Amino acid sequence: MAAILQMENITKSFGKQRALNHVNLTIQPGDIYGLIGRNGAGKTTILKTIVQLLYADQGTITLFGATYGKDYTKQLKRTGSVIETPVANDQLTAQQNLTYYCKIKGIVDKDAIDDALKFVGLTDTGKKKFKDFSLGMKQKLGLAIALLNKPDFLILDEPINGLDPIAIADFRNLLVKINQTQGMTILISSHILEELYQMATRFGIIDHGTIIKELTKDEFDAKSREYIKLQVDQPKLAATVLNKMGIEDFKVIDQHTLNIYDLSLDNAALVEMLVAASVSVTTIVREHINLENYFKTIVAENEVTPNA
Amino acid sequence: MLNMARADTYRLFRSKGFYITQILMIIVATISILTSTIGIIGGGSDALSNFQAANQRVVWTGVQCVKAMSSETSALIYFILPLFIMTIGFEFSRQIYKNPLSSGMTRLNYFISKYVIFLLISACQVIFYYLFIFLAGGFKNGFGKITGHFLVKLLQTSSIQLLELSAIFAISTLVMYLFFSTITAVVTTILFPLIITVLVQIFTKQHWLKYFSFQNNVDSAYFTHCTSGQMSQLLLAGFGTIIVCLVLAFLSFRKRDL
Repeated sequence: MAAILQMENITKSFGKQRALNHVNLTIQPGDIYGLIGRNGAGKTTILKTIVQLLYADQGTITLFGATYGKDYTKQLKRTGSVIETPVANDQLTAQQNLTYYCKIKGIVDKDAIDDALKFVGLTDTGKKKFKDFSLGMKQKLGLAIALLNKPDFLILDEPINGLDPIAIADFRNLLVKINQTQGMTILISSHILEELYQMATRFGIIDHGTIIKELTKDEFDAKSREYIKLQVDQPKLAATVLNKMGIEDFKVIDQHTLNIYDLSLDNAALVEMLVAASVSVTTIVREHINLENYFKTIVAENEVTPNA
Repeated sequence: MLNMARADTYRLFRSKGFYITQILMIIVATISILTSTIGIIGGGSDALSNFQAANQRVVWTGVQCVKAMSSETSALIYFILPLFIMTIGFEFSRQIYKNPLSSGMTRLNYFISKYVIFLLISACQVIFYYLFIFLAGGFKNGFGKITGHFLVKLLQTSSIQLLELSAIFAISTLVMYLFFSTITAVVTTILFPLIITVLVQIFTKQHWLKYFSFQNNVDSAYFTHCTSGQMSQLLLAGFGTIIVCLVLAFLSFRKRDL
């Protein structure tokens, strides 16, 4: 199946500051793609480049098969987006704002406004104007505006920033529902990683304007499975002991640490065997990698070997 | 563009600012009609002062109201300015442009749509102004004799006035697109005509300057008798300013990082 979005070798600079550095990114139909990065890593720049609020200095972007000019702009009609903070007309209510955008987008379906308000849970805002909305309400209205034309591809920039925990959960459920019921592909940037983990199906990690890692949720889950962290003075000898015990699913991490992924292991028996083999055990503990830890590890590795 | 026009009209009619502007304009015009006095902002030519003085000695019927008050039409700068802010200014100060531009509207289409809509709103404001003063004057002192010559003259006058007002707001548009600042655009709209008026009075030998004195040209459009050459230069200055400003504004906007 053809990709929804393909960014190849995208580079963008602001003056002497390089914001995007040869970015390659592919989003497949049905993905909820989580773009992860620190503040200033280039997340918003990528999203703005996709929707042509910024123009890349170099590289090509293909959206629904269109790469350049009018064709590309035409395909943007199939997208909906909320970039940076949600914007709308201050002096209009939620319903009036949606009416305004229906007129701009040429949407004549009379139910479109009520459907969108109902979908995001803004049916009871009455005559309250956008300028008086809470941040959560603004985010919801931004999403409603983006969803008005029933886009095939939704682009959201830090949509859960500033939301309270209940609003975050509501928002997450909303996005998952859109993805599952309408088959809408979603690109979402965030640095609230636990939330992103709960909704995304693929992740891209960006640092210093470069995508340094892309992986699916299944791939991440495989990496993040629970393990036994064993810290000893002689890891090579410890590995031999593990082999003798018939344990093969383990990995030597550094000069003191081994991660053992076979959780059927009897810890007490292992310690006994290691001590018998004159291996000094300093730590034996169960751990697992969450997305945040994984992100930190990948970014730290990138800091050490930026060109790797 | 039609969709954008419908949307902007919808937004304008739901804005308090629009109604406040119209009410203020009605109040100012009503005061002028009730007191049969005309004022100008920022000074004007001797011809303009003479025209206004002469008009204060006659009864203001509907027709006479239109003639007399054509010489203070430059006040419309201040009654079109809020509409400019509501149509174009807020788009930039509140970054509302992001929604249409990120969902498939080309920058050219957006730029042209916004300007054409503003132009139509300006034209409506000029029509509303003349219609109101004609009716108000008419109800006060009778409507007067509407001749064919008067109607042609009114059409010519209002067309030139719309052109000159558009030239002023083309400069505002350029400033808006260059700086994305409503305040800078507002200050420019107010100061530019005043500065030119002052320059015309200082550099009396620079005759070309008067063609760029758009505010004065608005106020003197009814009674000034231009030769065809002078009219050509007036139109050239007006249209030239509009075209140059709009082209520059679009060029700065076309590839700008938003």
